[in-house]
Amino acid sequence: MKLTKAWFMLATLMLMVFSITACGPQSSDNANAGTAASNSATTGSTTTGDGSGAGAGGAGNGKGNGSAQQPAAGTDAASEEDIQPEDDAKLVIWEGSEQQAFLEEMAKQFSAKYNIPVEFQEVKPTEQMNRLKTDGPAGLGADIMVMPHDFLGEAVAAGLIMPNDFYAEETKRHFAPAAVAAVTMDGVVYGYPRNMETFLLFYNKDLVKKEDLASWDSIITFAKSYNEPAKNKFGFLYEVNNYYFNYAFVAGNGGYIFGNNGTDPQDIGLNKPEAVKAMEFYRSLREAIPIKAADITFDVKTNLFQTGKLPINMDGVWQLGNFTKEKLGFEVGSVPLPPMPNGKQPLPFAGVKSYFVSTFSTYPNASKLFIDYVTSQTSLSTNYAMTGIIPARNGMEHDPNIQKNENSLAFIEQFKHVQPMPYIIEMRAVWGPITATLEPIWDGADISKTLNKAVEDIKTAIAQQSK
Amino acid sequence: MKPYRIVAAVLSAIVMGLGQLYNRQFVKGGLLVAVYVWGWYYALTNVGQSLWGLMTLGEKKQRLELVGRVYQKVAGDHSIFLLVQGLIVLFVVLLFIALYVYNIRDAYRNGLLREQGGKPRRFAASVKHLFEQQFPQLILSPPLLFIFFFSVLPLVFSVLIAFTNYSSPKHLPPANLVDWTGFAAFTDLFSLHAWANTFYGVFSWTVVWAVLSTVTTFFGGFAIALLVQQPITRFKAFWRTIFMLPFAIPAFVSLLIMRNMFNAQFGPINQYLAWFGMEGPNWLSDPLWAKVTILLANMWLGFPISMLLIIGILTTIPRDMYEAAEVDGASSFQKFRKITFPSVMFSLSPILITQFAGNFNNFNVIYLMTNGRPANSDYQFAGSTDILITWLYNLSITNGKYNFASVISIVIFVLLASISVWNFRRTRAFKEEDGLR
Repeated sequence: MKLTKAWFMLATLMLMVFSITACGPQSSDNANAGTAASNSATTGSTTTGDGSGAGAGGAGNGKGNGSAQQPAAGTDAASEEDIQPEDDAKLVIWEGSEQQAFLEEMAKQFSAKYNIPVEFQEVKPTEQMNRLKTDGPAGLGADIMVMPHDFLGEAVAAGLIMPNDFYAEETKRHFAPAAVAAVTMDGVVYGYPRNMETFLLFYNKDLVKKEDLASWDSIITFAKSYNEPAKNKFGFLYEVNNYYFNYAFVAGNGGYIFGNNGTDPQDIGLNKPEAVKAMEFYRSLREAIPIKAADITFDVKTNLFQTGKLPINMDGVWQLGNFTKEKLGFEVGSVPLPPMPNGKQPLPFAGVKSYFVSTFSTYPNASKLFIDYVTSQTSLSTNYAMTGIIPARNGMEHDPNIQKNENSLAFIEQFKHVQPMPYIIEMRAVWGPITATLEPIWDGADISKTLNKAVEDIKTAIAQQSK
Repeated sequence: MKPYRIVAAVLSAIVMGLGQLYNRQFVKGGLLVAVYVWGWYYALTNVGQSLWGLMTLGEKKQRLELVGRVYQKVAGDHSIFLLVQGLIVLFVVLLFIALYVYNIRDAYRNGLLREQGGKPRRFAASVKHLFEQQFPQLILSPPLLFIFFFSVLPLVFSVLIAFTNYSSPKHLPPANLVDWTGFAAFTDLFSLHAWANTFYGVFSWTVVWAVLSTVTTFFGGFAIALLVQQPITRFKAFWRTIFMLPFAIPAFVSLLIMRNMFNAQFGPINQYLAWFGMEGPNWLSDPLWAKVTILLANMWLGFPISMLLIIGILTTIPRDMYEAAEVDGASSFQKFRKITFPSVMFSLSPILITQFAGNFNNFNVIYLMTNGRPANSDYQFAGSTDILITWLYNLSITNGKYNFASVISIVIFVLLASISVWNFRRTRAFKEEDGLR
């Protein structure tokens, strides 16, 4: 590599010598920062928020919030000191359009209280990191971002986000342990959790009784009685070919992606006996869904459910706003994933949407103050009322609005049995090979052979990746 | 007889504009001297720093320091920004050098003019001359400058990335520095088994896809055009409009609809086949069928434009040629082979090349129709139907392997550029133009 540098230097010098012939004395290293490359980026993006269930990771084992101490109603910051914001601070926050009304309302209140203006710019959570990589150094990035926690590994590696330092204790005290673990890396808390996202079983109350969803066996029995494949009538569907959903069975059985709570890329548990057992259970679901895995796409099953043809649909919290009686014309119920035949609970992936402070921010303290403001009990309650996101803050299940909504309560129940998705960068190497195993296993291939090959492929990819 | 030209050229070489002053072109000389002074000032203040940046790509990482209860950022060098800034300075210096060369030439010429007893133009006359005689150059120079800074510079930048280790996870600025690694990314991509396997697999499918998609859309359009233009076909305008519809609907929409139409279980296509008692193929889940499906979808989207072009050309073929052929007793197939086909190809072969290049990088169809699926565990970050451009997208946007992505973009560029140039030089249309000049 030294050689290349030398060549490059030589070439450049030659160029300089040839060009500046007969000139005065050459001077160099008179350093004055060069012209800044102004990387003018357009603000504002299109489309609405991300409504796909592939994104989240972390560590920890979602033990729910047993006894959350309830802080005094109103402002919970009453007893806790606040950080001193910078003078003349003004903030920019990035979020998807569905949170715009809420954040603008918060900005109004916050400005009235602290005299710090906050500007909302629409950038989807999944696109923020790539935007920040270029906009941040150019001084155009946001101060506050909202990202799914599975971006944490890369964001920390690239030095894009500040640790959650001043409010770390408060965060740990007030938020669900699984959510805090998901935004903690090497013992340092980085994020300020807002809400968790996972999936469960939605059902059409006109077509199926809640008792039929008591166990997987009863679901299979119900589906068999309901199915008419020739007419495309199915009792239960989910995205069979999407590992995001199937990992719930693997994790529930004691299989794992990465050891040490999802942080050790050298220890892959996707082909362990527990995982093989889980995949056997996965294949047993073919009794209920007697078709090819790849054909059950998100579009197809969602359409069937929304048109009242599909009784049971496994889908995520992001559908809560779409699966309402007003929109669909029938009552939608939801239940957490029932235990598997061996009595173990499936552990679906959880994604944690969390606020982060950009390292490029000129006003980190004011940013932290604003985040503390929008993650208070009162603000999160407002957020639920306005957007329907279920806050990951302890004690929020007692919120009267949430109490009124049985589907939200079902999710709060499911949050007690989740596993945050690993956030380490090696996770990217997992998706391709592990997804490739689903179709063959569904169609009857040898499970442990298939999984062994996938793990080999993942190891190869990780070895390449860390070069 | 004074050696004006030598003196003027030497003076201009010493200080830009001196030769012009010597030639009594005071305004122009004064302006050039001013630019010269500014240029030196710019070079002295920037060149050292930018060369250091280009060569080292930074030496300090960004760090976080705990001060009391909060972390403070200690800014470091951002390798990628140093690279861009260094290139900008380098390009400005190149422009400056070009001006310098021009000024020496100008001084020499005007000196020559003086030797021959002429008088160099005064400034007002020079400006007038610029507007009257050199108007094209004047109009073309701003776009040229734009191209220089907004096309050439980014191109050079992205090519240079291929010679660095700019990639996730270990070399992401600003928390890490990026280094020059020479041809390491190239050798990794072409020789390491996991990568090479993916590269050759994706590459060969890309070539197959580009050729087949171009051929199918072109000849599909050709066939339809011939049918529409048959003398016995009625309501020609109606048919033309109908067949333009696939092109008129945004590809974005039609592809997402087609993705559901080709669903093997729920899609209408297999439902119809089942109705006739046939079992339809797994359009999207079988690697081979998925490729066929993409080709079909692309043909549907792409034939109308070829059809329209070819209809246009068909109407320009003189009727008397066909009449003469009929008199000689040619069959309709012979007429097609000897008259129609050559005339169409004569006009359209350059367009075929552009279509080929477009299909080679047809991101939309692949990304929206299959997004590279079905998954292929032998590939690194690619699926069975990924082509180079979608793989590049996965590598850079999704997986942060910027250096590999840059290598692939260089490969794509070299390929397309060479095919285009070679083909373009071979087409008869191009040669004819030479003859006409």
